[in-house]
Amino acid sequence: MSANQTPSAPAPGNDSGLAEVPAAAIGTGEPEPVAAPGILKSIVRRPATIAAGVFLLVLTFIAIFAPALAPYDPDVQNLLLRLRPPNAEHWLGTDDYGRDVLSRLIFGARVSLWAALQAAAVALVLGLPLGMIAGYRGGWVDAILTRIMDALMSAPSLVLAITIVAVLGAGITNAMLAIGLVMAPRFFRVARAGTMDVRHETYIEASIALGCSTLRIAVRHVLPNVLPPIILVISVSLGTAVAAEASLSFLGLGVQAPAASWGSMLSTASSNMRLAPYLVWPPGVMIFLAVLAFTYVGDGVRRALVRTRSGN
Amino acid sequence: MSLLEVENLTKSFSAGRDWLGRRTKWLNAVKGVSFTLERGECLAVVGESGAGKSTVGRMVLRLIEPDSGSVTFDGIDVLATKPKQLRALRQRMQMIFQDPYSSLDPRMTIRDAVAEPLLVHTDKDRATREKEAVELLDKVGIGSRYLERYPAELSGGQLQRVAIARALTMKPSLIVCDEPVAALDVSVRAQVLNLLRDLQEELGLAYLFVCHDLALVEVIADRVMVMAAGEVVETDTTDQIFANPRQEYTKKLLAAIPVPLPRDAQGNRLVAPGRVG
Repeated sequence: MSANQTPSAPAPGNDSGLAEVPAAAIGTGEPEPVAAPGILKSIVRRPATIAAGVFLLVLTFIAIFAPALAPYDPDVQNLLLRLRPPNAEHWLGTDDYGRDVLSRLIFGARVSLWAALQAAAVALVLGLPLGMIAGYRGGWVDAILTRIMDALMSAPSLVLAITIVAVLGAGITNAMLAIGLVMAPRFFRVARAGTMDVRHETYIEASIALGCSTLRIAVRHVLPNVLPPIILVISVSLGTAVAAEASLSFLGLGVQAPAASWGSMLSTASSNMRLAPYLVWPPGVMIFLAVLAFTYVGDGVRRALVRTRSGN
Repeated sequence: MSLLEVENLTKSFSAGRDWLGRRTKWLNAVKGVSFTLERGECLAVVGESGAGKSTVGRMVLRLIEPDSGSVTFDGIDVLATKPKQLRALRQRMQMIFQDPYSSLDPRMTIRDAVAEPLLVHTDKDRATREKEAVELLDKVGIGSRYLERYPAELSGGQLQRVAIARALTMKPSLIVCDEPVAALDVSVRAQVLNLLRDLQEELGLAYLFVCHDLALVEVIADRVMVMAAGEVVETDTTDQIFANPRQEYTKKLLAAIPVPLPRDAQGNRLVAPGRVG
């Protein structure tokens, strides 16, 4: 796995030093045979991970039931109530069109999480199978795939996303496609390393000797070894994607008006900084907390992995 | 027709590459090996480490692709089979590995491991597969105690029995045994060896028994093939090899068998100095 530790140009939006995390989590030792229960137990012992996990669950709940939870229609304007500070009727105040900030925040959670999910799914679907193929086949297949992924990794994600949006048209799905594409190498690397870890174990050779198909060997015998670190990468990538979505929507390239996202709300807030400084806080805090929570959950998984690996 | 006919099998591995990745050094692991194996027979392949014994065993099963030569199993040209046919053929030619600790998937229960060939090769339902797995585990003396256990919870001897049960699942006619007892405690070696012998008698199995320990070979093999540096030194019946070895190399190998109670020329027991005999 050291072969692909090439330094990559830090990409804006996903250079929070998280790229190193998966590599550390894989280790080089043998897979722990009964890792799964140990991982769960270890996660449960970390309060920060628990808190982050609960926060994300609540956020998901809010996103799913947004129509029922939001006190107002997030898109209905009331120009008589423009830029009101927080009050009893509008708990977080109103924006420059008199829309309820709390309601927009709740619907924004939907957009943010869904966008993050899209990006992570694209990265997973691209990176995981390709990484397993590269790790399993080795040789020139591995060499070519690794070069392609290294090239992708060196692309600055936001710039690429802006380019793709410029070509395909503005919209959250196009933008997240781009973010997912740039995040795919993380999944690729972790899947490749995990596969190489077990590729030359005797039980893989034994499976071939038994007559298992390559697909069965990959899914049944290799994937279980690759999956735990992949879960960590999913978590970290979701955090990155939330931030990336916010950045793109802030620039007006993501979600389109009048729909709300945390990034577009921040954009609105920044243009009304002088009149309504309080508008910055709700979306800003939510973005901050969501990214932090995803990172904490990822970190918890990583620590749990390291601990179970070292046999503690 | 013999069950297995191997002719002129050759394999070399690259041992070094230049800065462009071109192979510069070659290691000739196996050079022109030929032999036959009859149904129900046990042919031992002996030699020091690096003699190419395991490579021969793996090439017979096409786990390693030979450079040249031919392998004919029951009239089928093994090296010419397409991937799908080869997978089907693998039901009839199985392998038992040296290290039982790593030859079973650590994340798979014993029951699933033994039933896996049935899942891959047949369309029997789950209940039938599990029933057959239990029968097989009974046959190798494991019983149904460890069905839900993972390999890490079993001892080496038990794991090797499980591996044997797995190899037997599809009722093969040939099993390549790659040093099947070398990694086991001396105390359980005899048990596993006896099990292999009993199964051979009961099921009419042919073994290609890769081994470096001549003392074991004397017990289990019908014929012995001695290999050195990738080439066959001599092939003969076990009795002949032990009684009248023709080649110098075979004599040296035989002389290297440790003797349980060493004696000197006068028949006195040799005792380590500093201890009262």
